[in-house]
Amino acid sequence: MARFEKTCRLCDDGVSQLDYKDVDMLERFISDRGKILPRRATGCCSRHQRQLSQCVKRARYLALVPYIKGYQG
Amino acid sequence: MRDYEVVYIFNSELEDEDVESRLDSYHERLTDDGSGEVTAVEDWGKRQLAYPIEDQENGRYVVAQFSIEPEALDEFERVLKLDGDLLRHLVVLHEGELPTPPSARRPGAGPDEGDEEEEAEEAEEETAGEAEEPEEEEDEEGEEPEDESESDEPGADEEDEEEADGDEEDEEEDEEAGEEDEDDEDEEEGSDDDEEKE
Repeated sequence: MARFEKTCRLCDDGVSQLDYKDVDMLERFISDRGKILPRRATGCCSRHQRQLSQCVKRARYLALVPYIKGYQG
Repeated sequence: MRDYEVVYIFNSELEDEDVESRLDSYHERLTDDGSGEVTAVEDWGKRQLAYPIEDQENGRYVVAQFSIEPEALDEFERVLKLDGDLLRHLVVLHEGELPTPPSARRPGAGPDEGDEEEEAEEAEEETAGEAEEPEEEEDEEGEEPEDESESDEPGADEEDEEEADGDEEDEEEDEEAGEEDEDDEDEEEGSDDDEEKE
């Protein structure tokens, strides 16, 4: 059955273009240290994974998400 | 002529009028010398920065969309860089991209205006996954009563509906894709711990 295949969550949701300003969405794709999760963890297709990575980097620059989470001096 | 989007982060101590006058002066430059046009301005209000910028913990976020000849961008950005109270700005091409989702400005509790239709669209998208999947699950149970969930007959439906938000995938894919699910759980737990430490 098709449901056993790993499919891209974003494709399933019909997302065509990710938004770098959507913090809640991006938070789901970064680790507890602020790293961008790898494709094997996100299950994203290559198109969305590329977009994702670009969006997280923009969001980092804009201080919407941290470069490093939980780092104390 | 191309469409762009710019995000400004102002010093949060600026008064509303100061921010507005700055925006006016920036946008005047876009429209003055040519056929540029500002199509949308959206104020997210004050919002905590994910990390301090110039020793500031908060920033005043404003997002604007405009169209302008690419050659005029350099001058526009030069002006932005001269403003000391503009902590940061980002100009990106904005072609075929979706506008601001509601989640982006929630923490700042800024004024909600503009882009209402598009907000609605985004909201739909956000909830779409959660809302639809429980239904799917019910369907599948009907078709395949011999699935692993057969044992819990009477109360099963109610329970499933409650849990549907987060766990629907877990139940379906437990055996086949346990790997992925475990990963997800680990991450969640990890981040919880982190927050507690802080």
